[in-house]
Amino acid sequence: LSTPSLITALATAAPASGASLLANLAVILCVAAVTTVLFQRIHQPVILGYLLAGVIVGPNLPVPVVADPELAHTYSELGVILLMFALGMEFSLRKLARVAATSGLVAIIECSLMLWVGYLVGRALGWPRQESLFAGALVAISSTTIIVKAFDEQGIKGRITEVVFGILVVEDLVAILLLAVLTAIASGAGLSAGELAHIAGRLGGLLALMLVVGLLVVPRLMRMVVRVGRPETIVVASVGVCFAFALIAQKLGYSVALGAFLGGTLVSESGEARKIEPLVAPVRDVFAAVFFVAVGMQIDPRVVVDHTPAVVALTLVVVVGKIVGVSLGAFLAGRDVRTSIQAGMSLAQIGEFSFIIAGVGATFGATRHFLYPVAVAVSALTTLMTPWLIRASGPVAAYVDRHMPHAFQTYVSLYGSWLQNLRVPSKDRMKKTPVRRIGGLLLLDVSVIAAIIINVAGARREVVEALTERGLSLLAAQLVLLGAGAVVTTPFVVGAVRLARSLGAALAAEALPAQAGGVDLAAAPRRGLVVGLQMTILMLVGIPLLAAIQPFVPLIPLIVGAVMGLFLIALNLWHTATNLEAHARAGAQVITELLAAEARSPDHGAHALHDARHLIPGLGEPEIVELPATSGAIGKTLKTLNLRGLTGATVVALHPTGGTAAMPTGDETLAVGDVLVLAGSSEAVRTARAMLGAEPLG
Amino acid sequence: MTTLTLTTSSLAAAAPGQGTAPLLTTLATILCVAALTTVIFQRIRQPVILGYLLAGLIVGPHLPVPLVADAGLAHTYSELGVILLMFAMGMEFSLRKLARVATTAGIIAVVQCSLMIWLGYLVGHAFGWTRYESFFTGALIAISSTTIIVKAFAEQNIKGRVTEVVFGVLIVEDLIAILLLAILTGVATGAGLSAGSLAHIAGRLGGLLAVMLIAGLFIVPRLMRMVVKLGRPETIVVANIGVCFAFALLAEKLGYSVALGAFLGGALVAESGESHAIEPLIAPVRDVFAAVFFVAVGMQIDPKLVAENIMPVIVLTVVVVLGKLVGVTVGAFLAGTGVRTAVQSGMSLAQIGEFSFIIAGVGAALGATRSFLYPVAVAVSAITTLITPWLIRAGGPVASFVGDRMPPALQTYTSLYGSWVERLRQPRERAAISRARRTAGLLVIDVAVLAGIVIAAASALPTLQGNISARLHLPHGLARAIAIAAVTAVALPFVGGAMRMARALGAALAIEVLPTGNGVDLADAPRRGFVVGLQLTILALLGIPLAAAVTPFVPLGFTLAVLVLVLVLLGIRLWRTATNLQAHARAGAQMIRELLAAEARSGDHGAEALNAVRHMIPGLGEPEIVKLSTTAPALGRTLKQLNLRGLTGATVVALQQETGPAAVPSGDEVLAAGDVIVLAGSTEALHAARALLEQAPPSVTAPTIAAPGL
Repeated sequence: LSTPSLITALATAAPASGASLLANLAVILCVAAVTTVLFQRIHQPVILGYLLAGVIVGPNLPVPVVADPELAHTYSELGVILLMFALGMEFSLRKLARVAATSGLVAIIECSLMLWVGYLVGRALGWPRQESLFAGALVAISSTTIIVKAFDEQGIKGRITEVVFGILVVEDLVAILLLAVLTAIASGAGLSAGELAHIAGRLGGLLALMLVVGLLVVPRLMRMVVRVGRPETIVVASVGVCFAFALIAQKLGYSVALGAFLGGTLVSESGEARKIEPLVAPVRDVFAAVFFVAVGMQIDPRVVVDHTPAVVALTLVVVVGKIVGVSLGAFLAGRDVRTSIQAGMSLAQIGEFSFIIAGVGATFGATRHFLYPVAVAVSALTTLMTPWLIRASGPVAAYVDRHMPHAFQTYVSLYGSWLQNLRVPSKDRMKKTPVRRIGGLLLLDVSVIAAIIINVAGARREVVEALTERGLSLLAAQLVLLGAGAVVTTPFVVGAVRLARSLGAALAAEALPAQAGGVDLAAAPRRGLVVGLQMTILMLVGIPLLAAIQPFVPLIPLIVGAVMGLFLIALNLWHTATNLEAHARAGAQVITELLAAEARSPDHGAHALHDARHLIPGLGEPEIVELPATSGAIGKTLKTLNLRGLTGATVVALHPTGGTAAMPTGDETLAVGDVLVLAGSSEAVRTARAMLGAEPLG
Repeated sequence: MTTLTLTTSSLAAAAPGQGTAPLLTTLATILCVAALTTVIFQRIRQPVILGYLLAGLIVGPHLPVPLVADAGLAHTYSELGVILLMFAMGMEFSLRKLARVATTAGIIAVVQCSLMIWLGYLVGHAFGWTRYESFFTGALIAISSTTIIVKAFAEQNIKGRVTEVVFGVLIVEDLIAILLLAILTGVATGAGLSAGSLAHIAGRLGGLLAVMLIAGLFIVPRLMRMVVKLGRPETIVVANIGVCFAFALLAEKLGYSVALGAFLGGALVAESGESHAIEPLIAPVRDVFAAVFFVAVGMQIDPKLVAENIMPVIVLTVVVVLGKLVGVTVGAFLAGTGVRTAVQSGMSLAQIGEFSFIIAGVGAALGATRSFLYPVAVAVSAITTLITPWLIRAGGPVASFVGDRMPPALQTYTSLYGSWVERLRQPRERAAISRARRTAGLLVIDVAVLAGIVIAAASALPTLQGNISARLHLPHGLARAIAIAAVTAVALPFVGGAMRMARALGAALAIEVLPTGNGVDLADAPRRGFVVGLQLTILALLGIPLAAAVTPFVPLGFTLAVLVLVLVLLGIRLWRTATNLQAHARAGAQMIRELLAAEARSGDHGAEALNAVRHMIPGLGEPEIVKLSTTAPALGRTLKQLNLRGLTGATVVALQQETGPAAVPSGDEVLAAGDVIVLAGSTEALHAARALLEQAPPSVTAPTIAAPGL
């Protein structure tokens, strides 16, 4: 009896797949454990550890530890499914409804911006349309996993996390839809408007059906299972539901991720997520590790090196695009500058969804072999940068605030407070009707534009052929076509801009209503709000429009149009901002005078404030505070405090003890008993008050 | 819907891992059906495992249900389930814990496991199965199911001494199972059933275990502590499952079962002392794959095959229930737990479970057993699992019944035996230990030699027989008889030696507990009783494994005859010493009664008297005096109604009633406030008895004095 004979006997007797399964999982998990422990020791994200483990056990590095990529891929699929299930559990319909307005706005603006820019970069690198489309989708979705961990490690809490997680929830939804659309496109439906509409319709129907049926069955079932109270049964049932939904989605031709996400959402609707989550988490963690390692196994360092330009370009796009898109979106949604910039810098990376999307592209042959490693490399780079970006976001926000033109500073402080008024539910629904109607018209208008452009583009070749047959040169024929297209679409574009404006006006009228009779003192701020809202609305419909029609129209005119539109809007904004600045200055003047007049009255200007609120609307909810002896601001200037930068509230008037009330220059040294008038959204004012350590007087 | 067909077909065509789709389908089917059946089973209060087995039956290929999972894939994944289950068990099993329960649980587990292996072998033999099959059958029914017992106890809210004993036994059983598994794997892979190869296997296994344990103890606990210190659940779970799979893989590469490696990995991880942080993270992963494992087990049940083998199923079920009951009860009693705990433990452990599936799986995978054994094992497990909750519930009443029907002499013996064993467990001087150890070592060598002779003789028997008939021209029958007689003649001295050495060892141990006094040896009767008990224990501990080990090599009748002979001899001796002891106890009680009566009105209520008694009549444990207060729940009831001995194991040696003189109780006296009761038995029994007699502990307590001779 010898050892080899034993082993051969066993090897022949034991099912081969079982043995290699065990060997693969053992290699993957052990190497992953080692690398992640190392990475945690050097304070780097765990995901990078997994990717490194993947590179080590993958076939592309000459290391003796090797796992079977085929098997790893099969198990990584389970990882994707469980990851998406867990994300779906975090995502609840109720949560979505709560953050929908603000986060939805931000996510739509930045995701479509990223899609568009990603597509452009793809085209610029000479990739075909489908590949560019995938490149756009790849860079569009930030990584929940990485952000959650980075926030956790840096101990970041409060409003910024709320904003970021709200955006991530909507992004997840966008990603799931993108994934469905991309799967359909990649599996052969092609890129035509009709097909796209068909896909969207079918997906919508399916989602609605699954949600309705699922909502009737799954939450009830899960509540029953949880009531039995056996962890074992809970975990088996949850994972069973997860796999079942993934399977259904797969059978219907969608990605497993979609099904698992939906399953997770339905399970979380049972209201028992906090009992289920800790039980599912370890199972997810194991297979997520396998997934990330399998992703790493597909990185061929040589391919990455060969495509360095693409990696660099896409990394830049992710970092710059995400920061600009998210900051702009968040700002337009009424966040202050600081929060907007922090959110933008937190979201500047890509992660698990990009791997999944790249995987779909590779699986269906829609993209070439190199895109996957490139995506992983971009993700690794951006993941590496994320903690630094988050740490740098505070200083960057302060810098931006300090270097903004003065007129903008005021505008920015007040814009948030106006939007706040909009979010207060209006009492009678009649008032909402014009808003709804105009919004509907706008959407219709934009879809018509999209349809026209896509149709014209689709018919381009035939039209050009027909024209050249009539004797026109090719260039002339194309120009004619372009001109015709422009002529047909221009009225709609103008209509859209006008509709956006009137929608903005309708909304602004709600936020800053004109007083019945008398002079309309709110005119200047209302104009400012209208411009801001118009910009928001145009971006909200324009950027997705851009992203949608991009594949169908030539690049140059589109970019020119976009730049022109931006320029016009910026001009308009600058105009109203300076206008507003004058208005605010006047208002501050009024307040200052009132304060000076009533300086010795017992209520310290509360009365004056009341008058001022009526006289000069649009300064938010101005509040008067008096600095107590305990205030940390004593002896500092407003500039050193960086009050607006940190809180978003602006000081419109300052009444030092013993002096006269005046508009602050920012260089006054604050002393005990000074009275300050703060303006801005109620949250900004509250934060500012807390920072000054002062109590309200009014 | 053209798009639909288009997308699905293109998807099916393009999907790279053709493995993904069937994998997902299989897992989804298995887990969903399992979730449904287990929820239903929990609703009707049946064990979850049965739900899994039913789910397996449903999705398996043998029932005409449209839901079918891929058996091959399920099997592959069930392997992960086995590994994770064993890993979790290994984590429960720590070397420290083993050391703590080693004596009691070790005696019980060794006695009952070898009894079951032996019985199982006999049953297999009786059905005409091959030797391998019979051997596997024995192993199949030897190991009880931790999973099932833990759940049954949790559901019936059973706590206290019984759970301690039962879990201790389970820990040792796990260890035995792991060793059995290693040996069976070795045997089944072709080493064959010969004494040499068995020794080789055992030696190799021992060496491997030692190397892995020592190397592992240096690395794994340290590593785990480091990982846990990082505080990330994700890393903890990945690292642990990595270790688990790595050890399983290592064991597999060395030709052992994955279960052995995973168990070892778990035990090493547990040594880090961080189990409490790790266990809840591993549990969900284990639960998912354990579910797959049990479902995969269910998938292999072919109802037709079970129906065809209904006789083995019934017989093995009866053997499991009765054998475990008797084996554990006797073992537990000999280990000194008292009758009630012994019976309850026996009834709790009367089932087989996950290990049986694994062992049967190894047998089937290696081709050592035919295809019918696996379904039979599963069926037996299902039936015994179903019975387990009932048996556990009946444990109390049965124990009371047994206690009631026992002859008074045995009752006294059992009450006191526990107290002697307890005192044996107290730490003592080194010289005594080394003396006992030397004797024990000699005994083990003697038994090993005996086993060697028997096995060698058995394999040489045909040659010997042939030689004899050829040389002496004798007929075969006669030659055979001569050969057997010759072997017996060689073996007999060793048997006698073993018996004598067991007795010597028993005597050496007994003298530690009940030393001879300076004058008249008052402890003589109890010591004799204790020696017999110890001798019985030692012989059971060595004899039954010996019987199990030599059974495959010697004719059945021979082993049986020897065993019956030994049992009868020991039974007679036990009965004799028990009656002897009864007289001794009666005398002691008489003495106590008189002392009590004399000092009835003294202030300390007999504490002085008791002190004197303890010196004069040793071997009554630590007798304790209880005076019934006015609030005692026992007032107005008789000792018989209270079932004091049945419930607690303590016996009342004297009773002094307020109204009358002290007397040896008949059991029918109605207890009243102020009655003084003298209790004897082990500390724990006394503790339980006091709790039963009076809720409030503070009453007259005998001053603690050093036991004589210590």
